[in-house]
Amino acid sequence: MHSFGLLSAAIWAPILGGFLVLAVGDRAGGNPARWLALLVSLLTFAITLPLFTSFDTHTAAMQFVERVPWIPAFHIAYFLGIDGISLWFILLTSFLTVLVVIASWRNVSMRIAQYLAAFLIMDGLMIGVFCALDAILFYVFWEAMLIPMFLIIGVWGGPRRVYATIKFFLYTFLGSVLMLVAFLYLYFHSGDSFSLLAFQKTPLGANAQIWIFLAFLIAFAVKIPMWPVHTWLPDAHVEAPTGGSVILAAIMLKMGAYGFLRLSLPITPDASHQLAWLMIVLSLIAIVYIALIAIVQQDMKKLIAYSSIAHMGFVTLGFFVFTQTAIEGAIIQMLSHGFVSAAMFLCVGVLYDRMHTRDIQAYGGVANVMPIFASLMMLFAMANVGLPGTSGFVGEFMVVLGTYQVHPWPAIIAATGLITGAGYTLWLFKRVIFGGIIHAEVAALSDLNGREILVLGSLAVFVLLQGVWPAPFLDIVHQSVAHLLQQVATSKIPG
Amino acid sequence: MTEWLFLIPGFPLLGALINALFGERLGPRWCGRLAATMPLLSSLVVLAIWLGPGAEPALLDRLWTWMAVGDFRVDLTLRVDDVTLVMISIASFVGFLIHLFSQQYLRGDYGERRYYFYLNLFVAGMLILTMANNLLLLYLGWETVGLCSYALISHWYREPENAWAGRKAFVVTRIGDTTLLLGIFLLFAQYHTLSISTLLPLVTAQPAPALLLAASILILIGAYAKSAQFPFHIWLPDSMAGPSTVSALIHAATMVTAGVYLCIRLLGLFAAVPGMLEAIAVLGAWTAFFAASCGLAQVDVKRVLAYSTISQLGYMFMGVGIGAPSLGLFHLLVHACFKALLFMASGAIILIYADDHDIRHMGGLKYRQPFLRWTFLAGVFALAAVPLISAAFYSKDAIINASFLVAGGGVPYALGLSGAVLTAGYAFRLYFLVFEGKPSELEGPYQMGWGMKIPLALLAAASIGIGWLQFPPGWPGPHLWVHWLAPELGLPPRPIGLEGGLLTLVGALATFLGIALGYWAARRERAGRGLSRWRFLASGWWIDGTILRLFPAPFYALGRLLRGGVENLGVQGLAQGGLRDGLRLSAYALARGENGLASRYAVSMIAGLLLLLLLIWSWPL
Repeated sequence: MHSFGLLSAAIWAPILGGFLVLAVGDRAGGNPARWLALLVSLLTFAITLPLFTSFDTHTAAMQFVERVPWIPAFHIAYFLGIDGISLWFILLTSFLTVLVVIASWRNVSMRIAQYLAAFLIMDGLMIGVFCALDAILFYVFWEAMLIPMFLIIGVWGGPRRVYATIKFFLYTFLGSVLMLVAFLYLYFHSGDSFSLLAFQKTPLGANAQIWIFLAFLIAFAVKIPMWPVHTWLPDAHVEAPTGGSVILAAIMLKMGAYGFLRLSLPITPDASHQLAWLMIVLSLIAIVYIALIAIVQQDMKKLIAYSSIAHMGFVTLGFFVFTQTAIEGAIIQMLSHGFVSAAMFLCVGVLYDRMHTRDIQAYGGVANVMPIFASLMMLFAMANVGLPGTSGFVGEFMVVLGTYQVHPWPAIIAATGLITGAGYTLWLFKRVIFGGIIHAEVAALSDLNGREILVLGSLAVFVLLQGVWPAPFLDIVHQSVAHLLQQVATSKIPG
Repeated sequence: MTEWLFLIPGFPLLGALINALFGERLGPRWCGRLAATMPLLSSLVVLAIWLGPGAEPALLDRLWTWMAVGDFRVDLTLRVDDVTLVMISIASFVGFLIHLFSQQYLRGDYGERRYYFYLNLFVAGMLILTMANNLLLLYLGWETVGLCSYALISHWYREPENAWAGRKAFVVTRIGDTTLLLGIFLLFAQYHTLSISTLLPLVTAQPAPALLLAASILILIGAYAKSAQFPFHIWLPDSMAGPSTVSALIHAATMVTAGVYLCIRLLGLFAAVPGMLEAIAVLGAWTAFFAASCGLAQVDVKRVLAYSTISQLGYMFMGVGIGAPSLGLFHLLVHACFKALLFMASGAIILIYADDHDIRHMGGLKYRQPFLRWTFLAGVFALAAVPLISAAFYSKDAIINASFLVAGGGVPYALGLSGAVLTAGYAFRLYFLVFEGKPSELEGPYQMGWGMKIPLALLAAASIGIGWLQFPPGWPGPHLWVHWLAPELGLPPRPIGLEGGLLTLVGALATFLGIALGYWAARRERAGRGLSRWRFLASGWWIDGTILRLFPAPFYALGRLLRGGVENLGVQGLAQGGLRDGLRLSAYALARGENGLASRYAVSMIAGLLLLLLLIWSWPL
């Protein structure tokens, strides 16, 4: 196993870089800060690439492991490692941070250095969540990443940003406190260790599992977010600046789902089986109910935020049917949603930068003046609809197929999401992009500039690549998912 | 040869890609030329198969593995047998003709480049759909053509109605797409394969009646939605909002026939379910009759043709249902030729009348546009199945006559025959109103170039002559078609001797009766007392309005209700209210203990933490 400290580098390079950007500040109109931030984000992306190239797909064991005692008195360690499940999210995080830095180049004029620094620091912290194998370390990263996001929405957000940030913070923070309690309980029962791997091996009684599962559930359900604790998300998205929305939708929402895979399923396998019905029901509500809410939204960002919730419903559905196809599909869906939701929010950002409104009715006929934009947005809309050939299809398809093998009716209900998804996405697309120009402001819009084409174009490449050739994405996760399923299938109730 | 199969869908896909990346620099004219070249290259490859090895045994080309998890594995494999060969010949060659026609027809349009991008992508998708040996790859093509249909119906997006029509088409067909996908899941859950050539023998060897019934119904709904069969036909008349060339290619010659093709491809599945084929026959005949009756009352030239397409597709399904799939495929070919012709010609007609679609405002076009008149008339002959000199006489009438022979064929025969009268009726009503009578003052000058004339001429020739491939049994002349397809599709029932002669005669009489009906209907329409005033027929038996009121409207209403009631008041209100009050309470409790001593904070914090730890540690779980 390698231990060159690659993971540490991936975590700390952007954090240190972020502080460096802060130190540079807004001098010279912010240009030095911009270039430095771009350099740091590119460097981080470069650091994460070898994780992929030298990843061993034949084992489910943790790779690139680093383990140093941190607080020996409580057996807390600086313990990092990744498997096939975490690898893609690390790459996604470092890749999207580069895009966010580029996308924010001119759009943010106020305190650009601090803005970019917040994203860089968040980049490191989020990578930290995906690498951490020690519960306390995990918790620290988990909570710490809220701070930059809190600032991004609270400082650079829209008019109701204070309300949105407080709501965002309260929901996510209160949700995670119970996770900490569960960690403490597990610490005492695992023979004084905070290692997640030790947690996964700790035998637990049926009741204890249920409580721990529920504690985790609250933390993760808020993050994903699952119905009915989702209401912070549309508000947070609406007020967040574009970059904030991108990271929030593409990565932060994945943290909750990742938590299920890393913590809930392997630590409390019996409770997962016992409460699977609850998770399936909540997922189906997210798919069906949220689609109904989405179709009557007037705000572009709200509509896309609700669509995110519905898409994450497929992810949680996939986890709790316990088939290889469904779980791998759910992971693909998470990645795909990372690309597609990022792209959709960037598209809204492109329009917002020009028109300063997100009201669907203020648009119409954008295709007349922004043909390149319209074509790219069409592609992303189709990926959102789950059209074959785009990444959106592979994930949803595999989830529904995997579900179908064990629970036909939930699969059929979930499949209606494919129809309603087409309904609200095309409704948005028709209102914004098609039609004649009714508003004079729309007539004055200019098409994408080179920077925007670069950002949206590179996302388009991934959306198509993952759609027509998902094999490399799946190869990485096969072993880890098989191992996970084995863990879930093994009862941990002692005796 | 087989390793070159990927070129057939590959060329148009490449064209779309070049257009997407470099179309800006090429300019609209060169985008068009490039786009037209691509299906031509595809059809040359198809021609090479015809001339070279043929498709017996089937040609296979395995490309790469799309996705694989456990026993779930999707290989991208292309397969060409005789049935596929017919389909890809239509898609590539008729596709090429329509691309050629578009060069002049769409010149100067505000979305030429986008148009050619989607047209190429469409041809690629259609070719993938037909050549797929895997149900999921088929689904990929199936959805790609749906996307292109959506984009091209909405092509003139500045009119909101066009964008609306595109979305309607997409969502209605998407319902069928989803049931198709569920049907595929069912088959996979039972047989653990998605490869068509592996699946069909398994279905016969290990039948699972209940599952096969469910799967075939789900797949059939998919086919009906795509092929605009009753009651999923509601999207097709509105899809006429797109350019006429799009209607010719997508909504006549190729995409809408995908459902028929799917049924032919999965015939083994449907045959394994008792009563399924009979149901397909009756439903097909019913749609044929129903849509033909609606066609008689339309005033929009393209809506006449749209209902006509629905009706003709019904005949194809009927052919499949009565056990004559090779005749269904034959009519698919014939229909592709004459309907593409009629749609393209109607595009020219609409241009001549300054974008007016209303046939009551037209008339006497034969004087100034003789070429258009003769080619259109060839198409009308084929649509009406005029005896001997039109192709549909040998395909459509063969289906109707065959239905007379099969057990339980009475209803399809009666519906099919009365549908034939109505078909000839609306076809000639259309012809008389547009081309005969006094010239209309709305008529403008329009000069068709060779790029428009050649496709029309070729298709007109095919509309007359392609039927001669397969004469009725016992007649002198070639009998190439059904015997050629017999190894794959079996021999259809065909009446012979006196019975055959009588049935043919009855069919011919139906056509002539229909022509008289058309003449009468056109005269009444001129006089302002036409069938178009009969709302029941003109609105398509009120089906569309009823469905829109029954399904989407309540869906929106429910969404608004939930947003106001549950989402804002319930979920949001309760959660937030609870959170707020809880915080307020705890803040109140804290405030009472708060009197400035930092050490007291620290002590109570540590005490709280210790209590928590104790609680956790000793929790009796």
